[in-house]
Amino acid sequence: MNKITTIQKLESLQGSTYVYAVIAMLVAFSISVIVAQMIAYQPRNDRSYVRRRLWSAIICVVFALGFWLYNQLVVIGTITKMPLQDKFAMTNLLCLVIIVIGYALLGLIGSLVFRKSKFATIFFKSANKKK
Amino acid sequence: MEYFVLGIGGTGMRCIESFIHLCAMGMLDDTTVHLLALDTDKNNGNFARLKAVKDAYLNVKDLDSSNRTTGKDCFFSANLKYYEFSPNYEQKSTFKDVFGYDDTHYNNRNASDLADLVFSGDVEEFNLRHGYRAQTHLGSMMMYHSIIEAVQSDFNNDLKRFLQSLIAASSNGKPRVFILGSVFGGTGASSIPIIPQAIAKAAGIISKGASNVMQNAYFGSTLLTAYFKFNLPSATERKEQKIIATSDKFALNSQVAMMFYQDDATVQTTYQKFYMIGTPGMDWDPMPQKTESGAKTITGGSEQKNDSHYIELFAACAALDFLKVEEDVLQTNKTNKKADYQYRSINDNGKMEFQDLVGQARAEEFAKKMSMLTILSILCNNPVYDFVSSLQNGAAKISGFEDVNPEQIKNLKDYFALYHFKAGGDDVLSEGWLRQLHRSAGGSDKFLFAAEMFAPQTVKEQTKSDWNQPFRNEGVCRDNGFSVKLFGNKYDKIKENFLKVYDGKDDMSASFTNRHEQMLKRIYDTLISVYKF
Repeated sequence: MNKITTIQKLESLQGSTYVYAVIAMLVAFSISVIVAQMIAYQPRNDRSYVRRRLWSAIICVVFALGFWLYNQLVVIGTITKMPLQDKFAMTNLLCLVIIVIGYALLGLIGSLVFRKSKFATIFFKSANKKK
Repeated sequence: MEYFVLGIGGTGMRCIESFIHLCAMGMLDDTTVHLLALDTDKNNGNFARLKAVKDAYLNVKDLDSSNRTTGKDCFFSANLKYYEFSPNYEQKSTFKDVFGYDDTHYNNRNASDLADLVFSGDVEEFNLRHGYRAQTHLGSMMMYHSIIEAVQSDFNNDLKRFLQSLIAASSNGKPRVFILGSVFGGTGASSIPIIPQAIAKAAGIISKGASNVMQNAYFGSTLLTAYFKFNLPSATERKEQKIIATSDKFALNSQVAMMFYQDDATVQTTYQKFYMIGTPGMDWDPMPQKTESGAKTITGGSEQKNDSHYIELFAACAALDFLKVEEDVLQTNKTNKKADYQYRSINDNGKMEFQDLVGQARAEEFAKKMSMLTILSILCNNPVYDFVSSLQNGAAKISGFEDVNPEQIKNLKDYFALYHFKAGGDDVLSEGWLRQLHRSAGGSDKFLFAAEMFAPQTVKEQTKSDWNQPFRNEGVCRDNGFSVKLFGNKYDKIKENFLKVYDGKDDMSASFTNRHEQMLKRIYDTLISVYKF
């Protein structure tokens, strides 16, 4: 990995980190949808939505924290100057927020659009809950 | 469309029971069926079971009788109007009492001598409360006069109401009347020959001669020959009861009856179609528990609750066929005063097929509707699923069914307990009508479906069983079923489709006003889609 020595290189790194954050959020969301669809409805008192919520939260935490830790432990080491490192740490924190908020927003919109899907039960207990 | 069906005697009761199950499957769409249960033994156990089936059916449709309507492409599509009639033998319980033998003997000796000539002493004196006990020469006369007396009575009764409906139908068109009963026992065998004349005469009395049912209505009947046996009575029982119907005579009775229906000019002019139905043998024990305990011969009453037999479903399907016969055929037979005799045989390998019951043209429809009702019974009465209740109480996490009346759901469960099974406290499945039919056909895969549909004896076994593949690997609908995804289960597939069944199309359940019927329609459409019909 190239050393980041100038502000121009840092700005380029910040831009690509934001893009990677959005990609990570989309990947996390896709995995969350797949996992939700794989969890079967339970007969009688259906509490399968609890498992979907749990898995959705786990996926969000794993991706957000994983992304943040990778940047903190690996990427930040390639930045040679302390002030640039501080700037990147703030960018990394923003990426964490982008992943978490974006993941939740995308989930909510997806649930509203596909109200009768299993994924929707992450936000609404009843799969066919009215808007 | 209106249809009039009479079930007569103990076998007739069980045939009506099968007919009601056909109605529940949805085989009589857009039809109002007037059912008259006619039995001398009103305390008979089969009569009681029929009433339980009928009550559950009606309450599943709507608790308020005035709101019940017919439907199409749904479960419980026919609207049933149920009537019952039993000659009153409570006060006067023997022929001699009814006839006023002692007075007649004193005042009109010729009449009593004639009675003595045609009836033996025991026949004149046995108790009629348990039926006519294979004494058809007595039974025909008694039943005819009971019907006439009932309509002449000042009191309103079910028989009058039934006849009023028949009169109304015959003044507007050509109603069809079908009679279900056996030719080898007592009440049914006695009544089949005289019922058309009796109800035509009774309708004439009620309408004061304005109605001619005999001219306007078409009549059909089963000729159901002997198919079961029971304990032979001991010498003491014979002495006590005076007359007892014994199953060792049933085959002979059947043979003689068939000769009568072949030769008698009167029945050939009154009936347009006869359906000859029978089994290869008479090995069926209708009350195995009673037999095992070595109980005495049961002549009738609440203890007489025979298990159902597949032949009764054949009889019910004959009634279904009669409703669908082209009117030209019936009119031609009526004009020519000739009756058609129908029969159908089943495969030599003993495996019953759907087309054996309803013919090739309706086999797929029958397979679809019968299997879907059976699947619903599993979803409803297997406590692991408890699908219908969990829809209503919100446990299934599907909103929109909270206002379904729980009383109707209770009736649906009661119905399925009688139709298929009920889970007992020890999770053992009780045996309903369908399971009894399966046993009567020889078990295994001999009865319409895959053997695994009937193999489970407990809730756990049934939950594990492949009810997603209900059909055998051969014959009609062999490809109808569904497979389960890697992480899915059978219930999961049903629920997923239930949620999305009306996506992108009209909500078909909206044609019903009753919320319970709306829910059942949605389940019906879901199952049809899941099982790829």
